[in-house]
Amino acid sequence: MKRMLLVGLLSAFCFGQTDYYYMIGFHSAPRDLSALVVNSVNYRELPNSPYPFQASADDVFLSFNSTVPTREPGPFLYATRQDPDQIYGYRRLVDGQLETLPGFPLDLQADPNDSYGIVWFVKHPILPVVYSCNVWKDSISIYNILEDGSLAELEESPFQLYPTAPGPQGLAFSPDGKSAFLNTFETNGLFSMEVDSVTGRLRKLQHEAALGGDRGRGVVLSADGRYLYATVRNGMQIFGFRVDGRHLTPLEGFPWEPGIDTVFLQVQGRFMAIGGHTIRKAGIALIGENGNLAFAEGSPVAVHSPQMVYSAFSPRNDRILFGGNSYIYAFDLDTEGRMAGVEKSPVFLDGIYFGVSAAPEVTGDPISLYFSPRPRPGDQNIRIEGDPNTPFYLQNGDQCSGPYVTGSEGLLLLPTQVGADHQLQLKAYCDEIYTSDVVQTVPILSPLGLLAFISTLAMAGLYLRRKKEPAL
Amino acid sequence: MLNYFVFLLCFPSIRVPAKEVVVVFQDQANQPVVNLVVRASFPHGILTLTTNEKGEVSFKTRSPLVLFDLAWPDTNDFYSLPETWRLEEDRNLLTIKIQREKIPGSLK
Repeated sequence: MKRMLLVGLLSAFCFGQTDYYYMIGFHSAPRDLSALVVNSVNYRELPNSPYPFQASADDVFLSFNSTVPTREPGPFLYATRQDPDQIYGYRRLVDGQLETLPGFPLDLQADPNDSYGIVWFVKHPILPVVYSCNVWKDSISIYNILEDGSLAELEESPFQLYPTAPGPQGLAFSPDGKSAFLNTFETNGLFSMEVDSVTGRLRKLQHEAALGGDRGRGVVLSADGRYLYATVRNGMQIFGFRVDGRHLTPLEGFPWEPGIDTVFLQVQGRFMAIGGHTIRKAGIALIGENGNLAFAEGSPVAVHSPQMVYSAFSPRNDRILFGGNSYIYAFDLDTEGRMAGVEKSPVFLDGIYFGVSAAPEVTGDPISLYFSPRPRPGDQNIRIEGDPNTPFYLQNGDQCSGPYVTGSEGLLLLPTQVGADHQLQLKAYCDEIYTSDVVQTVPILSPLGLLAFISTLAMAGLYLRRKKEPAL
Repeated sequence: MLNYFVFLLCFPSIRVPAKEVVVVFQDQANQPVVNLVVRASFPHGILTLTTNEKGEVSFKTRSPLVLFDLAWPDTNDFYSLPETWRLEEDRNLLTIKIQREKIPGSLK
C-alpha cells in the first residue's frame, strides 16, 4: 500500500513537470548512486534509491565522476567511477527509477595497474555516442550506444602525439556536433578537434589557446556555440573566447577570485552555473550578447559546503541543483537567473564527507512520459509522449495493464476511452496486487436522532401499556 | 604515421603505479606543522587531509603530478603552494618547507 501511494504521488508529478536528478554519493556505506525528485516545494529521494553502484573505497578522495542521461537511442543513464575504472549502465524507467542494464558494469582496465582515470564523461549532442576522457591514459575512449543500451567501443583516441601528455580533463562539443574542445590538466591549454559527423570519431587535434593559472579544469560552450569558457586552478577568473570555427579569440576574463580551484561550469540557455572548491559560494552568471558574463542578481550565494562540485539545471531552466561536500542545494530560478532556495534545501548528509557527482544533465519532461489524464470528449485515443522505445504500464482504477512501448518517435496512441471519473497513472511496473478496501460503515445517531428514537420507544411503550389495561 | 612513432619513441608515456606517498610539512626551523589542512589536487580529483603530530599526511596515488593548497582549520582561505610537485617513481617521501606567515589564519 505504501508503495502504491508513492507510485501515485510520482504519477501525479508526471501529469505536471517532473525532474529527476541522479548523483553519485560517497557518504557512509553503501556508497551508491541515488536519484532525487524535485517538485516546486520539496525534494526527496526516490523509493528504491540508491541503486547498485560501487563507488571508490576511499571516502575522503573526491574523484571526478559523472552521470550522463541519454534519450537516444533510449532512456539510459551512464555513471562512471575510478580505480578500478568502470562504466555503469541503467535503463531509466518512467517513474524516474533505474534498472541495471545487462552486461554492466563495463570494466575498462584489463590490468589493475593500468588505470584510465575517467574524469569526464559526455554525450555527443546529436549522435548516440559517448566519450570518456581518460586522464591517466592520455586518451579519449569513444563508445556507440546501441539500441539495448550496451556500449560498443568505437576507438580509443590517443594523445601521445604531443611532447607532454595533455591529461584530458573537460570536453565540450559545438551544438552542431562537428567540433570538440578539450581542456587539459597537464599542458594547461585548450585543444580543438574535428568530429566525424557519421561516426563521432575525433580527428585533427590541435592546440588553440594557452590559459593562465596552473592546471586546466572545466570547459563549456554557450548554447549557440559562439563562445567558449574554461577554468583552471588558480586562474582567479573564468576565461572566455569567441569561437570562429575551431579558432578561439580571447574575451575579457570574468573574475572569480574566491575560487582557487574552480572545477565546474555548466551552461544551459543563457545561464552559466559556477562553483568550485574551498569557496563556499555558488552562483549563476548570465551570458551576454557579446559573450561577456555578469552575475545574476543575488549571485553568488553563500553555501555551507566548501566544495560545490557539480550542478544540474532542470530542462526548463527554472531550477538548479548544486552538489558538494555534505550538502545538496536546490534553488528555483526566475527568468533572470535569480536563485530562491527550495523548501528543505539543503539536504545535509550525516556530516560525513560527501563528494557528490550530480547529473550534469537532468532528466525529466520530456523524458518522463507525459499525457493528459483526462482526454477530451470524443477522443478515441490516449496520446502518450516520451522517450522512444520506452516500456511502461497504465494504471486505470484498480486495473493495471501493459506493458506498452512507445514507438521510435517516442509516441504511442492507445485506442482507449477513459471515463471522466477515472484518472490514469503511468507506471514502471505492475508489481502490486491492487485490492479495493471495503469500508463497512456503522450508522451512528446524532443526539437529536437519539432523543427522537428514545421518545418513539417511550410513546410505543405507553401505547402498549394503555392497550393492555382493561376498559373501565 | 611515421611522425607518430617518432614521437612515441621520443616521448614515451610515463606510467606511475599507485604508491603510498608521505608528505611532511615543516616550518623554517624544521619543526613539524601540525593540524594543517592540506588539499592535494590531482588530475582525477581532490583529496583533503590534516597533518598529524609529525606534520605528515599520506595518500595513495598514481598521479605523477600533485599540487597543494594549505589552510589552518576553520578558515576558508587556502594558500596555494606555487610549485607543482612531480612524484618520481623512486620517491615516496616528500618534505615541504613552509612559512607559517604565508598561511592565512596563522597565529604567528
